[in-house]
Amino acid sequence: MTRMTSALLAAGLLGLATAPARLEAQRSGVEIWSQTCGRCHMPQPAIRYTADQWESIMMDMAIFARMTDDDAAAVLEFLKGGAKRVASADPVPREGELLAVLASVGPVEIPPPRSQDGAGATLYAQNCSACHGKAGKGDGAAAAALNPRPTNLADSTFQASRTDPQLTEAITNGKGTMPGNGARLGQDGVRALVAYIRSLGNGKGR
Amino acid sequence: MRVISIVAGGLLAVALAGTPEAASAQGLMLTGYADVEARYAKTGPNNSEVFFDNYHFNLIALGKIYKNLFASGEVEYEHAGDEIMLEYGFLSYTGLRNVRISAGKFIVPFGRFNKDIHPTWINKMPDRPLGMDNVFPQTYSDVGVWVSGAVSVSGGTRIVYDAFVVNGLLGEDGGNIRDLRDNDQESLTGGGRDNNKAFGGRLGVEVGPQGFDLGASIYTGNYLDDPTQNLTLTLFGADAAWSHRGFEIRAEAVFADQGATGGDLSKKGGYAQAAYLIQGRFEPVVRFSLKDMPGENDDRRRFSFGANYYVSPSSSVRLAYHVNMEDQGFVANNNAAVAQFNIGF
Repeated sequence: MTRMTSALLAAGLLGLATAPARLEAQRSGVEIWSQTCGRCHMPQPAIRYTADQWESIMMDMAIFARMTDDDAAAVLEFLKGGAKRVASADPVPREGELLAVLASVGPVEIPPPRSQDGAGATLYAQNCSACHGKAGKGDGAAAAALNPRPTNLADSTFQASRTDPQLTEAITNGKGTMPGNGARLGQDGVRALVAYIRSLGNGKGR
Repeated sequence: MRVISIVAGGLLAVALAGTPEAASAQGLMLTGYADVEARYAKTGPNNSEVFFDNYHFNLIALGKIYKNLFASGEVEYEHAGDEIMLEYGFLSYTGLRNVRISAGKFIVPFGRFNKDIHPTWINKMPDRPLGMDNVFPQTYSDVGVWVSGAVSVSGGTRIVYDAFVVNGLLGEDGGNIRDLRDNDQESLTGGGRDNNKAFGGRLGVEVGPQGFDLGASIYTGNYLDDPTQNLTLTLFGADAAWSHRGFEIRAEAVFADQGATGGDLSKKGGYAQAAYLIQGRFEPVVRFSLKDMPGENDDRRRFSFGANYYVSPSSSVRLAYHVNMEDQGFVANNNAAVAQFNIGF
């Protein structure tokens, strides 16, 4: 390899550096998180850091892991959804607090369209299947690297042990290492997901 | 050098951290990794040694210091010795789409092990593979400019790139490549400084859904610490990895073409490794690594067998046994067993 050849290669690399973005990936944050972070190490749970800290970490990882801007932004949004909260600055109820509120106002009616709802299926595929698997069995592509393992949503014992408000709470605010998705999905989206998750258990839930 | 390193590290830490209030407001954070280990090694037919080592206690400060300006630095404290170094400390401009321009001292982006895999909480073995020391001098960081980024070409597939210009490796005619990384400030101001820069980069492709990762790297530059002469060191690297549902195969090779007045030297090294993560906790690992060092009588092959237990996603206990083979065949005199606890924090 001559110096000139090396120079041409380096010039090519520099040229690529200035190339315009093309065909940006349309993948969800959770997919990119599991695939990109998992290239080097176990993906870290969102609750490990605060939203501010994740912002710094993702700037770092965008450099070290060579991520596109869109991919880094999608992962950051996903991680912020389940980030550790600073109590004094956080208006969102912590895990358990929402359940307490719900319990205090009596039974809560969650629309129960227990069918293969199209919106729910789409939302599930985009936001849940990477970890929980296509059939909800906790065997998604990212599951092997997660500790603890994702919940088997299709399991009849799990389905029977969770109420719809509990599922709503978990999806909205996160549970364990799973980030909350309520802010992104909105109430309708969460309802659709609850209905779809119930369908995974063949309607055996409560 | 030690004093300079400590002062530099302290200045960086102060510059990055500032007051606690400022750090919090800007999202700055202090992180790092550490490990402790016990090692048993044969040192001869009837001799062995057992010792404890605090291999790393490295602190990393990172954060956004302005809208599109990012800073990151790692203060390295190794082997519980009396030397504290700045492994890297750089500023990055992130205002261009899919492009990061960094300047300062950074880990040279050649291959995967040097820049991405070497921290002990990430590396699946407690030691670096053969070839990632005397053929490529990991962990090699240097001062210069680094441009990096990625371009999406289809759903889940990215072309990734790194390009760099650095002061370069520096040392004696035909010297051991690992020793060439000691191109510290004292050397540069002591007569070794010249106008020759080293440059190179890595071009890779990542196929996200399928878990493939392929790359090729190059480094080239004059390495002689006598500016009146010109001897070039060129390194070529190739790396490949595939990961799927807890199963990972990773391989990396590096070839060195080192100019020398006594005749050019060709050196090569690399490794292949397989690991399988079971239930997110247990992970058996096997690795084969080698280095061929003509003229240095230091050719070696190594089989490594490991078992990891992950306490958390960023901490683990690693057990490993290395079987070394040298030119003359199987040599059990320098086999080693290592037990390590590591954590990224």
